[in-house]
Amino acid sequence: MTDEHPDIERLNDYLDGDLAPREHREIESHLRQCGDCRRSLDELSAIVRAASELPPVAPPERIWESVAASLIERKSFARTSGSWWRSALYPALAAAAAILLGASLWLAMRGEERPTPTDQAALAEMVTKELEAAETHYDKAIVGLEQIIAQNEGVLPAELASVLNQNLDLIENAIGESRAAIATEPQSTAAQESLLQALRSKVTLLQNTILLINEVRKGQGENALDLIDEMRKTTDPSNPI
Amino acid sequence: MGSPGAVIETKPEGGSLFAPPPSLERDAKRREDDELVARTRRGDMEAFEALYRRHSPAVFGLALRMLQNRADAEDILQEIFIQAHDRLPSFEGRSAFGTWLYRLSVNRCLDHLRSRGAKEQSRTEPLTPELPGRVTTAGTRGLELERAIGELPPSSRAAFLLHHVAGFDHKEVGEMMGIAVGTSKSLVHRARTRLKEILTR
Repeated sequence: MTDEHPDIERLNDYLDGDLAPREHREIESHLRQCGDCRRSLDELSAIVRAASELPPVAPPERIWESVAASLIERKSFARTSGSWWRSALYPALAAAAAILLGASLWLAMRGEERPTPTDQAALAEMVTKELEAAETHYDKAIVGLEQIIAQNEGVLPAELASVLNQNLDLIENAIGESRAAIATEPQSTAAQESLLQALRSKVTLLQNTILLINEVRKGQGENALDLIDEMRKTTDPSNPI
Repeated sequence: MGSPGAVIETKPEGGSLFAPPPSLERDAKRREDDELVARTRRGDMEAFEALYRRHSPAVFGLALRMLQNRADAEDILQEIFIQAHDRLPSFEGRSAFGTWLYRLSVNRCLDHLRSRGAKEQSRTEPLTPELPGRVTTAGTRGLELERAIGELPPSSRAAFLLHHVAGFDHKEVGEMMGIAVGTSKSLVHRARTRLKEILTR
């Protein structure tokens, strides 16, 4: 037997330690005197060793983001916290931030462009038009924000979603009341001022939301929660807008 | 290679020379996985993310080596984890989560190769820039091995990767691939023999 070359299958079995003791000894004996078979065995052994050293491969981060986004879309997860905010919620929050920032900038720019009124009627007309434009613009911002919140229903931490909705509702009520007052008394500067103030409150809320987004982005969960508390206080129903 | 008398020491009483790592480490990992699985089932996304972080490099390595195409491997990795999440309620915990995930992964890769094979005979791309090669103790370069693995038939490739790269025994490989223990051994032997031919030609 020792003069006979074992076939490759038996060398594989030998390598795995799968042969009966007698057969194992026979091949061992053959290997001592046959360089070719020793070389074959060494080559098989090297392959096995190299394979065991092949490392895991880290996938790109975007793969997890895609997995997470897909699961969110299907509302698979109701609870979120910690790093999950950062990895999955960011795109939505960033989009919200962009909309809100746009709204704030628009209002600031409008303020600078305001023309000098020549008479009371022109002033009233200008204020009305400006208010309409402001409302239109903010309505768009609200629609965008609501869409983002709706798309992430069940994902956004309940506490945060609740605060956002609560504040938006309060401001909407104030705007609605102001509009009603203007409808009754179109020339009422108090009603107009009330509407402007409500819009300014909305700007404040939106700016706070942007701050909150920034805190979440930085991973400052505690700061974010503090900010939520602050937002609650500033929009308390007992605190007239 | 080799010199007279440099016969590889084997275990006469049987057992592989290249057995998986000690079971203690595996048990600890399994317990941690079990906890994460339980939390994921309760809707905890962080726990599922942790499972992903723990297992995705191994699964991605398997997918890259099985499919030999990075874009496909990325798509498949994504599908595997979404599928794993969907099927988690039916995971009974008889096997370790890692084993269960590997089963899902290797079969998804094999399905993909079958459908790809039907569409186009061969679409393999060199993995050179994507898989980290390394010089091994025996002088076989990891990179050469990566390429050679791509030339194996899919079933042999799968059995080889599961046994020698992932470290599963033939019983586990058999269960994952739905084949007998003997078939797993035979596929792995064929893979090794073929790789030896490729690497020494």
